[in-house]
Formats: sequence, structure tokens, C-alpha cells
Amino acid sequence: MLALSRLPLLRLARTPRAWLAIGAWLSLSLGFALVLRVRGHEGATDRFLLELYAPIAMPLLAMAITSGASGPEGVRTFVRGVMPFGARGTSAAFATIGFCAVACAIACALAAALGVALDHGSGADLVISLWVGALGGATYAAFFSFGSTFGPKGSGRGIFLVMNWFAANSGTAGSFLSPYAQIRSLFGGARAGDLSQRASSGALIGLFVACTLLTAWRCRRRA
Amino acid sequence: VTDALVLDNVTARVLGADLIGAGLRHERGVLAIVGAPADGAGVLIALAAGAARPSRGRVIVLGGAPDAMLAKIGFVPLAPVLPEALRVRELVDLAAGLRGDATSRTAERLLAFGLEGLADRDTRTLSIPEARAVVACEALTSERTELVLIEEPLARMTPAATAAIPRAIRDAKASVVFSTASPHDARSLAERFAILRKGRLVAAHGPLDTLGLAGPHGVRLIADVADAHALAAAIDDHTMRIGIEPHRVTLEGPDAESVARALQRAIVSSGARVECVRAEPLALEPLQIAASAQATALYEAALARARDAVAPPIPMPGPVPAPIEEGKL
Repeated sequence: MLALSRLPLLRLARTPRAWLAIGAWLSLSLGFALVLRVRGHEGATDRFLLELYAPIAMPLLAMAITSGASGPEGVRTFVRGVMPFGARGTSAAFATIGFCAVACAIACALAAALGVALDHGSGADLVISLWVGALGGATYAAFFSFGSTFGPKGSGRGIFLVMNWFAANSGTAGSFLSPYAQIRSLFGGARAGDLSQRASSGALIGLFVACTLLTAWRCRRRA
Repeated sequence: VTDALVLDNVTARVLGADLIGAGLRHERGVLAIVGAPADGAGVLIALAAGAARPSRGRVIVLGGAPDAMLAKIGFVPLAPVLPEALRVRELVDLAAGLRGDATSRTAERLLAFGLEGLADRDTRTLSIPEARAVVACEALTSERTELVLIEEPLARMTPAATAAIPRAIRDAKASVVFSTASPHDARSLAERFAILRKGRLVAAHGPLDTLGLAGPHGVRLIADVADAHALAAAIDDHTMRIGIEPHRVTLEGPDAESVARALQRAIVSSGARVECVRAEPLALEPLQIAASAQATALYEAALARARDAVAPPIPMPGPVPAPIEEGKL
């Protein structure tokens, strides 16, 4: 498993185009945080987290990392590349999602925390941005990995991104399909349907586990 | 002993090519699947590798489903997809780790296929022949693979790998099953063969002996000889077609035995120094036609035997009635 998780790491490290996308979304979110700070907006931290970071920068940053690590054609194609060399599809899928989840958790947590720090957020804001960023980033990694197993050339990933936005405002049941709805709630924005913040945390964990298992299931066979 | 490959009435369709009701059992050794891609040769290999699934029937590899045996199966498709962003050396190391081979042998393994120059190349920059050579090298030099499946082992490979493959197949501890449209390649590499025609297995035989199969134009023997004209002049059977090239006589006749006898008589009577006599393998299509005809003949003979066996018994005459004596009525 450890040997297999080196594969997405090396792909990400050796693909300059992926770094461009990651850099662009990081720059956008930090630039927005800087603008809010310079203009001295009241509640700059909330505006940063709820108006730009949670709806746009965070999912796109996670998608850039997942695409960079598992390839533009998705996890299934990526996993099929190692199956002729003796890897089990499920193990390779778990290793790939595992790496993507860790990478997205670190990147999303750091981006959120840096933005909050730039906007002079409180210590509590910093802690919340770190753990929600980490949990949300890991969930997005599994969510987009699962999405990439659908459609030609991993195009399901884009459909999942759009669904993430639309399902966020479609009641309690719909919000279960949207990491954004849960993350927005945890950052102090609108609730995900009738769910409490505690339930939203649980929903994110559930979404992460479900997407991981479903991705592994879809990658279990070579054909 | 677990069979390397068993197909049980398998039907499948992959990229427009069909395999229809195929049944095959290969215990071990080197098996050639002779047929073009349109005949379903690639389909059979893909099914065994788990890269395609049958719509009917069962595929059993090394005693289990192909997907459960991936660590023991090497697969060299015509267009391999390699993991991205790895160096060739890292890829062979990764495969060694996954299969349980020693990673210390990587340089030696690459050297055996003349791939040492590619060791530090990114897999994304490899051409298809290079990628196929790397995959074939990994599969055939692994000590853990038990079945290696190859599409066209002597085509679309780097020259060094093409030269290394016959020996690697001979020396492999694993069973090897390969598909080829070239009867010549099949004959030079395989111990056993199966012939596919239009999706159907028309023959699954023991050692590949093209002498046993006469095509529509008969059987052709080639003699490499110092004085070709002397040998040709000594051939006494004028029903044979004779071809003469410098240092080579080609003899074509209706069946293997008559051609061999005619050539034997000519060699003895001319006293020519013959270096080698060999049968020229049939081209793919005549081979398929001959195998189909042979299979049809065998089937019809078996059917006739079965009909004879179940034919209603000839009614036995009952007890002969005693002749009626005159005057008793």
C-alpha cells in the first residue's frame, strides 16, 4: 500500500501543470483575503471563508490536487495503469485516495488558516479554519475521486463539482451529496438543511467514507 | 496441478471482435493462439488478463478468477498504459515490490531486454514499442509471475527486445500464452497451439506441426542445398510443383507424406549435400481453412459414429414357425 501511495505523490510532484492550477487557486484565495484586509472590511474572516474560500477556492484547489495526483483521466484509469504489474484494484484505489486525502487536507487547512490569519481572525477562527479545512479537503478528495470514475476521461469529476454547488441549497437530503453545504455550515454560514454543525461534521466523515469505499469498489476490476 | 488457463464455453465481444463459445484448457508451457485480432485472438488474451469480461461462460486463470490472480499474471497488450510520471527503473521496482520480486535485480532484468538505456526515462515519453518492451521485460523476467499473456510477442517491440523474447519465453518459469497472426511466430515460439477463425476455436492441438496440416495449395517443403539444380532435376514425381532458388529447392504437393518421400528419393539419387529440410508454415488464412476443414471432418466422423451407435437394432427373426403339414387344416 505504501509503495502504491508513492505513485500519486510522484505524479503530483512531476507534473508542473498541476502546480500551476494549485498555485492559481491558492493565490486567488490569499489575494482575496489580502484585499479584504487592505480595505478593512468588517467581518473579513467570515467573508473570506463564506464568499470565496468555501464555495470556490476550496473545491477547486482540492480538484486540482486530485487531478494532479491521479491524472486527468481519473482514478479508475490511474489504477488500471498499475494493475498489469500485480496491484489489486482496491488497494491501488485506497492508496491513491489516501494520498489525495492527506494532500488536500493539508493544502485546504493551510490555505484556510493563512486566509484567516491575513484577515486578523481570532484564535478560535484559526482553529476552526484548520480543522474544517482539513476535514473538508479530505472529503473533497474522496468526492472528486469517486466522481472521476464516471464518464469519459474522468469527466464525472466536473459533474460532481456542479452537483456540489446545486445540491448545497436543496434541503437536508440533497445537502448530504454536497460537501460544500456541510463546510459552509461548519464555517458559520447557512445550515445544511436541518442539520446541526455536529451532524454536518458527521455527514462530511460519512461522505468521505462512502466515496472512498465506492471508488475502491468501482476500481476493483480491470474491466 | 492447477491449469494455467481454462475457458469454459466463453463468449465475448471486445472492440468489434468476437469470441464465440470458446472452450480451451492449457495446463502449462507455451501456448500460441493463432489468429488475427478480428478472429478474436486479442479478445481471448484480454479475457485471460481480466481486461475484458465474458458475456457468457467462465474464464479461470491459475485456478481462480483473473482479477484475483493479478500478482501472478503478466500482461503485455498491443498498447500498454503505463503508470504516469515514473522512471522505467522505478516502474520495474514498483512491480517487483507488488509481486514480491527482489528489487536488487532491476538493472539485470532491464539489461536482459536491452532496456538499460531507458532506465531513467519517464514512462510518459516512451513510444509504444518501448512501452511494450518494458512491460514484456517485467512480465517475463519476474520470478513470481505464473502466467504471462502477450499479444503479438515479436511485433511492435524494440529490436533488442524482439531478439530477447524467444529466449525469455523458453527460459520463463511461468506458462506463456500469446496471440499471433503469424503461424511462423507461433511455430518458432510455442509448444502447443490453438487456431481461431472468425471468433471460433477451430483447432486446439499438441505440438505445432504444420506438416500435419495441408492448406488449399498443399504442403510445402524447403530444402537448403548446395546444388539446387541437381536436386530439382532428380525429383521424379512430376505431379509436384518445384521451385528453384540459389541454394534452395521448394517442393509443393498434395500431402506431407508424398512430398517427403519424393524429396527423400531425390536426395538419395542426386547425392546432393542438403543442409536442412523444413516445412514452410502455412500463411494464416490457409492454416485457418485447413484447421477448419480438419475440425469439420473430425466432427462429421464423430457424428457418424454416434449415429451408428444409437441406430435401432436390426430386428432379429423370431422362432421359425413349423411348416404346416399338408392335410392338417
